[in-house]
Amino acid sequence: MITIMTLVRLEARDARTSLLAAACVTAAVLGAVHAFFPLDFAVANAAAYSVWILVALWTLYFAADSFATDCASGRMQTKSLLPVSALALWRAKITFLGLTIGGLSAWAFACEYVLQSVLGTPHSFEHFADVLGSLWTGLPFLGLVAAAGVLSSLIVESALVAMLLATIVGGALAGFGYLLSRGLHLAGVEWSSTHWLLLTATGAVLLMAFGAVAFAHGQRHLGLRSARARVVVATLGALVVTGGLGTATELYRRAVAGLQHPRTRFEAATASPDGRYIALEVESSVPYGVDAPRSVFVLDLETHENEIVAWPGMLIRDPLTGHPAPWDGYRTLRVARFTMRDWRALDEVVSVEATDGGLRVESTDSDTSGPSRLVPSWAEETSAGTGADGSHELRVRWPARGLERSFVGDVSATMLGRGIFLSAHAGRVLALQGGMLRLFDLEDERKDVLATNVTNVCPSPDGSAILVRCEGSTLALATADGSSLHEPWPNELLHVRWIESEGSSRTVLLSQYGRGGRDFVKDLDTGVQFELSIDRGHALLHRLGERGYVFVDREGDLVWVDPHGERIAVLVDR
Amino acid sequence: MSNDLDPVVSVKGLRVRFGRRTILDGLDLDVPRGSVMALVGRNGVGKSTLLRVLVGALLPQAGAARVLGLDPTREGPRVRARIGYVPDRIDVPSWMRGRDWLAFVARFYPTWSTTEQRRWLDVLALEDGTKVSAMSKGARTKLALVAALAHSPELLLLDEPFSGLDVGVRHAITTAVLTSLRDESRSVLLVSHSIPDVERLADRVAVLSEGRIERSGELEVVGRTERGGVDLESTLLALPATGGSR
Repeated sequence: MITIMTLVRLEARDARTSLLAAACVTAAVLGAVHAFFPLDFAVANAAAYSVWILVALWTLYFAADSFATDCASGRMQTKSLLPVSALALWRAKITFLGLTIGGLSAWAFACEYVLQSVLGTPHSFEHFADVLGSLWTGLPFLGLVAAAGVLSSLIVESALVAMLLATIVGGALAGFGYLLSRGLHLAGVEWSSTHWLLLTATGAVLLMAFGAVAFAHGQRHLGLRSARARVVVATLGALVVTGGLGTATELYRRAVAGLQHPRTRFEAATASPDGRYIALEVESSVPYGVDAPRSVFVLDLETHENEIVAWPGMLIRDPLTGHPAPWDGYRTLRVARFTMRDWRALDEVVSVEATDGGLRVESTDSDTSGPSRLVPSWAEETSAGTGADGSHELRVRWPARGLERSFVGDVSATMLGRGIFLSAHAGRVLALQGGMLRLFDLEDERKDVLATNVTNVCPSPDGSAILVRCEGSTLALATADGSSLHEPWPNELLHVRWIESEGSSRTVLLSQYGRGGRDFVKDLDTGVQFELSIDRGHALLHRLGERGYVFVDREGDLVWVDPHGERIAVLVDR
Repeated sequence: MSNDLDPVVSVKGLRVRFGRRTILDGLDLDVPRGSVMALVGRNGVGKSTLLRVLVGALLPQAGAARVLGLDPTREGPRVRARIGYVPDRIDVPSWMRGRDWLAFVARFYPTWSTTEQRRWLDVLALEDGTKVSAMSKGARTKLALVAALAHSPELLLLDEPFSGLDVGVRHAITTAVLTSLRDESRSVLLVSHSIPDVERLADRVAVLSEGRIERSGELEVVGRTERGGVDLESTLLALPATGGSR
């Protein structure tokens, strides 16, 4: 202990200029904060952050300087020839670093205390202490900064270069942490901030331990910097490469786990016009996954075989509804592929063609744009800019008849799919205005009120019907004439939504509220209704025309049933 | 445990490589207790490397070394506590005065004696109140010698400590130190390029060449010429020109 304290005293004496400068800069910065920030709480806030940043910077500097300068000057070699162990020299350096950081932190706090006593208010000092207290939960990060600095100073013989290197190492570790968080996310593991802090603290301790090993190794090869550097570089390299590769591999494995993986969640689908092929967009099981990569599979209902066509990738969406766009041709579909680096950046659009010999996937020059199903073939629409009073204008034209009507209102009232709905029946337009749903006929200028107290409107996939949520009940109306397709469903009992499909079928899913609520499929055209054992955790429920429906049942299997709800096959057994 | 008959330094089959370059290649050497042995050889043959192994600052790839009966690769601090080592260069913080450095070093040696420190300061005529940054090279060498001797080491290792000093200072230092040590029957292993110094001070010589001890023994035997005289320089000149590269 005496030996270590003797060495620590020498360190302190050697670094006295730096220590003095750090103390002065700290006091000056805090003084400047008080001079330039006008309000008590702003001062307290800024001072707390300044203290934190200053301490982090001093940690980086003194850690980076810990061995670099001594090794460059040969002083470390001189000390090493004293009858002390390598471990004692190491402990002296780390002890000095710890004392320095602690001392400068205490100094910063004392400076702010004095400044608050003179210039602040009791509340502002309390606020300063509160903010600083919340920031100190990041203490393990200081440990990581210190460890990165110390390791860097073992490799290079310049404090400045060591600081730069430590910053790079810190970036690499942050990148590693990011990869790890994504990997964990995909594995379904959610870590709290406490877990991350513990991991950071453990990482800092481990890096310090590796540093001690590298230093001791170097002391047995005195004068050979490469001996230390090899251990440090190998350690950091092994850590980052192994951890990074392992996590990335796990991430990839999870992401392309396949449809059978129990954690795969079915998000959306679109079927070929003949209903034989269904393209499935899936996301790898992420409990709170907002940024997990998605992939696209195409499944053959006759052979039950599936093939991945894009990872990361998504089905191309209808520009207005956000639902998957239909297939372009009889058996061709465009799919968006994203870059591996960024799961949201478009890489290319591929064309997937289902042939008798299997799927043929080819790159295309096209983009993800396409027509919206909200604009039927008879209509053209033009959206005008904002007027001086903030109003919008939507013009609907019927070119075949040379007719046009203009709708003016706020943004939502004039937006297709929100306030304006074009019927599949030519010339008919529905408009939601002030909670009132009206049906317009472009030919005779007639307008009928279909419903009042309307809160939400949703058109059917084919545009021939509309679900109207009013106060108390939900109506299903034909967009051609506003006639009712079904008795109103009471809102307090049921949630009603359209079942996606590419054909002209008009079916809804009726879901009872509550955990044990049951789900029913109702075909508004045939009147067929049956109960469906559907897993509500999956968004997928798709109608395949006369072939029936596919959905994920409560056992997690992807199931195919006929139009009457009779099970045809389990497409994916999970 | 070592006894008085054991050599203070015993090296067997020592091998040191730096990358692909072999510096020491199966080196064997014994330094008898109480002797002043000079290690000579051309530049780069591994003389300083050998001393670094002996103080535990370098791990050899093969072979064994014992210093005062201890293994320096495992017991480096214990070895360094019992020997005095003057490297070719020491780096002392420039703000220190001579006495500050000695006070700092003293804390690491249980056998440090202020009386011995005073004695060696007197023998070497060194003013310890001078700042190290203001000291001449000769004064720094003297300071390093005092630091190496004040704990009464059983063995003194000197690695070219007198190079760069003018003849007068070198002569005064070497005479004062080595004569005193010889009188106290302490052992010295001296690395030097100065043949006159070696011939004047050493009683034994080991000639290092190509990573091995080419010749070793009493000065008169190793440096004997065909005419019957002693000329160590001629012996060195007859060695291969390159060092230990393989």
